[in-house]
Amino acid sequence: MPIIEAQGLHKTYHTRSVDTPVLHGIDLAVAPGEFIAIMGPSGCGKSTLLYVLGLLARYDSGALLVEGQDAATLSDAAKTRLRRERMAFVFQRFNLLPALTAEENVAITLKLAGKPVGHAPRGMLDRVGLGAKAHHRPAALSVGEQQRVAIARSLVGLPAILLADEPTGNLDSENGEKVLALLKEFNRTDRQTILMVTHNAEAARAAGRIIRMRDGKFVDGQH
Amino acid sequence: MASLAIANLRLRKLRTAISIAAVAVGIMTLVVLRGLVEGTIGEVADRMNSVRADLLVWDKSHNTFMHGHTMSAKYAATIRRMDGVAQVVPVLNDSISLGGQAQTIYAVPASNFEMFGGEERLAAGRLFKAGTPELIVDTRLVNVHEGGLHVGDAVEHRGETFTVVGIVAEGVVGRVFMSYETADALWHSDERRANLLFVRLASPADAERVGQEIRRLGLIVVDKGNYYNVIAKDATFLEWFVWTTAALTLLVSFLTVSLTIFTIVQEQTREVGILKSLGATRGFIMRLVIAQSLIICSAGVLLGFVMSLGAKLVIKPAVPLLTVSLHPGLLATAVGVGLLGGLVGALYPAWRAARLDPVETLSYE
Repeated sequence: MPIIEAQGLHKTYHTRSVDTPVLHGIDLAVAPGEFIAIMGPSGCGKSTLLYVLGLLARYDSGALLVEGQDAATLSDAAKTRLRRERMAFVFQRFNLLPALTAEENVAITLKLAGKPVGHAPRGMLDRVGLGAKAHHRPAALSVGEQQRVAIARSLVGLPAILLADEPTGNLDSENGEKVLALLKEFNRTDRQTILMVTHNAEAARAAGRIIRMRDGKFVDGQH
Repeated sequence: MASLAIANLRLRKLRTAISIAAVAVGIMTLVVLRGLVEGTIGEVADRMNSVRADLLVWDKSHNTFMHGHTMSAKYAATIRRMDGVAQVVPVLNDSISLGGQAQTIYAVPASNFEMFGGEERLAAGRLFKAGTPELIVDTRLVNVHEGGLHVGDAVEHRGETFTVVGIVAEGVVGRVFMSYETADALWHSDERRANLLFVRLASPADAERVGQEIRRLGLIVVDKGNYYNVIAKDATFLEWFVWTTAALTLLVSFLTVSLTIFTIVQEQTREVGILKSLGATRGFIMRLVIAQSLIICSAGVLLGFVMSLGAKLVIKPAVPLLTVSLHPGLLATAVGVGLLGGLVGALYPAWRAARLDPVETLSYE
């Protein structure tokens, strides 16, 4: 069964003065263990698509199934629970909690899910090569290190799917390669399902399947 | 969640410290003002309780803060004849300036001084003699009067020179005593008067019955143990002043906290988005915001207590005749007010934070 299955997704941003269609009938199926990159220029709607698939944003029409559950029938509380227990996000701007250390940032995923914390955060930080910096706050970490902590935070809860929004967008090429290497490793060894959006063709090549997107539509690679 | 709340507050130490200080000032104002009123009234009531009597009798127009209303001293004889009454002592009150402020004089018959502690309470000197210009003062007054007061010192009162002949240990009903006969002569009235009658009963069980009988004479009767409530009732204006001042100060304190929480929520807009993307519920977000407010207020209450203790230490030598009572009930009230203010002040910002759109908040700069 696909982890995510979308059919004919449409979304329009409504403001007082103008309506801006963003998604024009997106069809997508993400199988377990896949590493998919959705590639397109800025403004093509790929981040919006990611937020809709991650149940952070609503869509106007179409169908969306997440692990077989129809998103249209889920309450806000149910979406939050699904996001907490089965999904994880990595963002372009890392989005670590500045008041917490690296280890505490990783641990918060488990705490929010009500799971025991134990040594899992430290173990995950070791896997991303940052065990020695567990007690550093984000301000004391480099951008590359922050993104690796964000990856550790997203994966410590063993999510069904990782949604990554331009994970290398704010990194130099060296750090970008390290982050992509990490994602590939988790996909290969843990069969972690990853859906990544990016405008960078080189970053997209880390994925097993590349879907090109333009003006709110897939142009190829969706099958 | 508590650790996240504390970590967030520690990120802006100065702002958190200012908010805590604001709450502390409000709490200190409440505690010290209430403590002053309750302590001073309580101290007066405790001193009244030291009298070996059961009932207090006044003229019907009595007010604790005005001594002008007197009744005929003949009531003492009438009440003395009532069944169950063991002793009735008339007292005249007057005012004398000692220790830098007006003090109430208790003019009592020398022969009845045992009702007010007796000679065994004297720390120095002797009792006054009936009809003489002699005074007894208490040890607290001795310590605060400029230059001190000593046995043999002369004190001017109503154009006459009085001599301090005795010093009584503090805790008795008055700070200044003189002979009832002397005070009566100073008033130059046609018949003997009294501001207050102390009534000692043969058995305290007769208090209700004897009290009713005395009320039929048109007088006010109060059980001695209820004197605190009598003063408190007469000091309603003081209560209003204290509560109004404390309420206004606390309002400012909690508005400061509320503003701080609003600012925190504004600054933490992105964090709210991050937490929501991680699956935090609206309830979690609300509890996180409220927790930060409660932590500030709890710390403010604790600091307020410490500041209140400090204020008490400052007030004591500065105004020795006032008593600041910091009792558990008052501290519990302060805790309740502090936490309630923190909760109420945070409710709206917390509700707003919980309803923020996660996508918008994640892109918030």
